[in-house]
Amino acid sequence: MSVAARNNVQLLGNLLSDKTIICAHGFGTDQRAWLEVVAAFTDEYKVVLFDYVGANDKTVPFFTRWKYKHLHAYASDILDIIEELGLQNITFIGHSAGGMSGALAAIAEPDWFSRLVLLNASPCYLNQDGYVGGFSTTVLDELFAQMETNFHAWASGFAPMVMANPDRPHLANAFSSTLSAMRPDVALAIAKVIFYSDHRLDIGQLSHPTLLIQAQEDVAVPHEVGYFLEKHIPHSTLIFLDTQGHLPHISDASQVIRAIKPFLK
Amino acid sequence: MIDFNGLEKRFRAIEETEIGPKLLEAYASELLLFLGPEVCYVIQEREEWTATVLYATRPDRGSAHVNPAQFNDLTGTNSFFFELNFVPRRSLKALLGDYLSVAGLRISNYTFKGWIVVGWPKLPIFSREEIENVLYRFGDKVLICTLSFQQIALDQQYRFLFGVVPQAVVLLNEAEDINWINQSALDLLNLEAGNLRPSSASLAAGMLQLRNRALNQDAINQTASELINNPAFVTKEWIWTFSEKVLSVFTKPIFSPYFKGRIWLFNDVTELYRKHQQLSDANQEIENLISVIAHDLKSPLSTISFVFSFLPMIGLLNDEQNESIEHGQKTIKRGLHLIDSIVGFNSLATQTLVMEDIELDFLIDTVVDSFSAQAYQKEISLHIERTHPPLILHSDPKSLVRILDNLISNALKFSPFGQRVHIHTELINHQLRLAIKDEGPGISPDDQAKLFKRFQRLSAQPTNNEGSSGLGLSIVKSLTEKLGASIEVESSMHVGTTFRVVFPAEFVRLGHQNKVEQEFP
Repeated sequence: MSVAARNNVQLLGNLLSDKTIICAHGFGTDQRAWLEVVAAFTDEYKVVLFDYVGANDKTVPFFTRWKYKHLHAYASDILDIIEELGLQNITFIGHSAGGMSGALAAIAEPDWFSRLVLLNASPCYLNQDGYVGGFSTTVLDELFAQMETNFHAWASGFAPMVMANPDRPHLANAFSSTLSAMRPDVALAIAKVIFYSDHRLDIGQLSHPTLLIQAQEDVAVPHEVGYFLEKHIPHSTLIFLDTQGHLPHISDASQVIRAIKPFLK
Repeated sequence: MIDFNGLEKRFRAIEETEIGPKLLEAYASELLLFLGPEVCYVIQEREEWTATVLYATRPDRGSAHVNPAQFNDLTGTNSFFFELNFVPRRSLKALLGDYLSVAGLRISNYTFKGWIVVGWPKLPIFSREEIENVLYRFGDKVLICTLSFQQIALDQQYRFLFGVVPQAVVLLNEAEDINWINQSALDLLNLEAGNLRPSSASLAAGMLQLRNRALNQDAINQTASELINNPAFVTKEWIWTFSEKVLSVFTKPIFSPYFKGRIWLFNDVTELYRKHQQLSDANQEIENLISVIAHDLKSPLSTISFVFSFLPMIGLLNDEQNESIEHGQKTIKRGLHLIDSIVGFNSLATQTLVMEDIELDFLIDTVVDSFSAQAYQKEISLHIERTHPPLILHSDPKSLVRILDNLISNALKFSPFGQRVHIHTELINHQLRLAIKDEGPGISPDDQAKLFKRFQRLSAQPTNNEGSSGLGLSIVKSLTEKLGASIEVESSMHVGTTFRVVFPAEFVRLGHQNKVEQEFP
């Protein structure tokens, strides 16, 4: 079995193009989260979509606790895909923890990547030593306890909070359904890896031009995190979109496209 | 030229002194000495895309997990590879980036799957065949190490398991003189402190000593002799009683292609036993009291009955007085019947069963026939239905008649006038199901819960002023269980009730077609 099969890799767009966009989803979604955004790039780019291991039914059989205990494991999977498909000149667009995994991959193999777009990403979710990550240990413990007690009830409460945009409830419903489709024990294990991750010291090594896109009012990633990333990633630019929620690529794809396009030129 | 004999000798010398995690390191250091590579890795395959570095001469190199795809490609057709201009792929860069010549051997064994990989910064002085030969010999040593790790890990797990169970556990190994016991067993059998791997002889002595201290040696020896005669024997409820404690002993043989032995579990049930004893003593006392009270009540009632029957002899009585006396006598009779039921129920516990082969159809016909007068009074029709050939039921006829009596009498009592009562027998999965079905008022779910308890007043009432002691169904249940059968009830309000007694297959067999006359009490 190939790595492409493990990560349910799909190739779209202009397959003859020497420019590649890899889109990486975040926690609780899968590659379908990108469909609206990538439509804007398929003429010019070869587009690679994939699912992180554990994100859905297709990939969950390959999930092992001993391997996926750091974001580095997910970064390594991204590099496996690039290597197997022989991809070059890569623009990596990653959402949330999917973006941070891409950043780790780009730090490990800097030559394989041209630039990165990190959408609502965070190097550390826990408030500590004056750093504002958005979550306290108490809040996280409570979150994990709820996930453990009744995963589906937790998902249906967590989704609208993270998606925001209450005037369009179908968005939260859709997110809730991809979230609920995860195997509860795997979702909990991945959530713990993400929320306890701390890559504040790593991001300084990211040498590529990096576009940081942040939405307003994101319960998972406060503004301070965006400023922190901009300060510590050497060649980074921070843009705040006029949209709410943690998943702007789903809730407001056109704004995300408008932000990314000039950066790719 | 490599001195293979020298290498083997070194390996053997290591085996005599090293054990555990140091073993692999020691073997590898010999390999490095003989073959002269700069690095040696032992990489264990975990899945297609993930492998763990089990041993590295330079542990600082690379992460704990690597993608072994390149090794898989190199050893796809031939288990050995030797690359003179090795270009590592991404995941192996950290491990092998500095080495020009890299050789590897694929090991694919039940115990271990993975690769041995060695690297030289320049061209080695040995031939391809020599390198393969050395790696092959080292591969065997990797297997030995993995096996010994696994054995140590298993040993630790068993030690832990044996340590946490509260019972005294003895695992006898028949093939070798190494037996496993836990601390509780060590204490119980009074064996040498600290030795959790005692010899068979010391274990046998310890167990014999324990048995000799028991108060119920005869009973223990009886089971023990069965155990000696039958190697497959598994104990059930084997109780060893001592002055200070009671043990429930369980033993079972273990037969597997790789292990022959027997496990013994000694469970301390002293507390349970003491409580059980207290409860049954209290129960016995209550039973005795009931018997005494019942008998004491019977004699004044008999006296009153005698006085009543004497009254007409004193002088002529008018109709009203006669009627009162008759009513009084009826009431006394009901009282005596109730007392008899109580005494009867009490004696159930001590009554011994006389099991014999009963021709079922004949017994049912006889019992049902005895109810025809009572049924006629209420215009109830009795129907016997059976869907099986003649059956022989191995049971106690007295008890069976009493069960049927009670159930049919209840069905008649609670059925309104003009209804039907069915006595239905069928064989399902060789089990006999004997059902008494009425068309009475039904039993409410609340009542069903207390149906089989003694002296329960239920909401349904007899339809023709018949008497009811409140004991009938508890007697039925008690007898049913004593016979090894079970009873169930199905009831719908205003539709009717079915009581079903189910006899397990072991009591039932097909009878002869010709009826045999049999006497029943």
